[in-house]
Amino acid sequence: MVEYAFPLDSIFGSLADPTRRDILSRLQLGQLNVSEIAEPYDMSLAAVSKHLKILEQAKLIMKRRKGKEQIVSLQPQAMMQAADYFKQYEQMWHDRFDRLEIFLKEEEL
Amino acid sequence: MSEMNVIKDAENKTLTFERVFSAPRARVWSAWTNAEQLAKWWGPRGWKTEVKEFDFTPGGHLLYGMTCEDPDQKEWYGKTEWAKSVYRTITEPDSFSYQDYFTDENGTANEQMPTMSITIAFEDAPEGTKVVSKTVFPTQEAYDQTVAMGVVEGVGQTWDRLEELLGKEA
Repeated sequence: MVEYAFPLDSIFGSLADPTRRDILSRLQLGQLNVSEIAEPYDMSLAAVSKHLKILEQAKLIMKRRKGKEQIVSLQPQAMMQAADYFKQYEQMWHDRFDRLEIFLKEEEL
Repeated sequence: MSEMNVIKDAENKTLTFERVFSAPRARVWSAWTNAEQLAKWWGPRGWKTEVKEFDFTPGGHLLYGMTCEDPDQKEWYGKTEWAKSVYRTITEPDSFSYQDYFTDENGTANEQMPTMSITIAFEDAPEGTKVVSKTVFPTQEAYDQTVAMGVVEGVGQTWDRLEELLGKEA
């Protein structure tokens, strides 16, 4: 069912915060480690980690360990799904109109 | 069968879908505004729509559950999803508007989900009736999501470019 086909709720929740949006747009340019991500923000590393955790739970980013560092990168799958939302919404209305057409035809008989 | 026309207005976060139906306007209007009729076509294919509450007046609402009865839809099979339309304006037989919510079975909105503002307009057309469905995606008041949507779109564009680079079909 197209309307609910991916966890839109957590994605929207994640994107509601300006810091998290900023992190995502910076990650579009390439992967960063956690301290690089935290650098421009006037907040503790713990606070930044909290934001990263929310983004990770929404599957918008992915963390992996490289030696002592944690490397963060965008997760294209979830990104694609988010972008697909509008396409799916269009498809939902397309199908819904088809069913209305059939319904109106059947009722004529 | 007529085709659906899609109008995208990214700046105003609006998606408009239009289609002409070969039936008189009063007939099409009642398909949208009568719970029994609506339930017959509203839900996706393979899903049964059950109307739990219906009050077609401004401020009134439609609360409905949709249950998947199609085993081929795998993880959705047997699941019920609830949604609520809260009617805002009703101008028979020209248009009505509502706010669309994802809810639980008691009609309590899921605040994490985007709520969309939808207007359905009906116009006489030579072939019958033109239905114009206009969705305004979440506004600043709701979540500051206009910007969030911008990010989603930006990310989508990035993805499109990536696909171009990889030479894949969209």
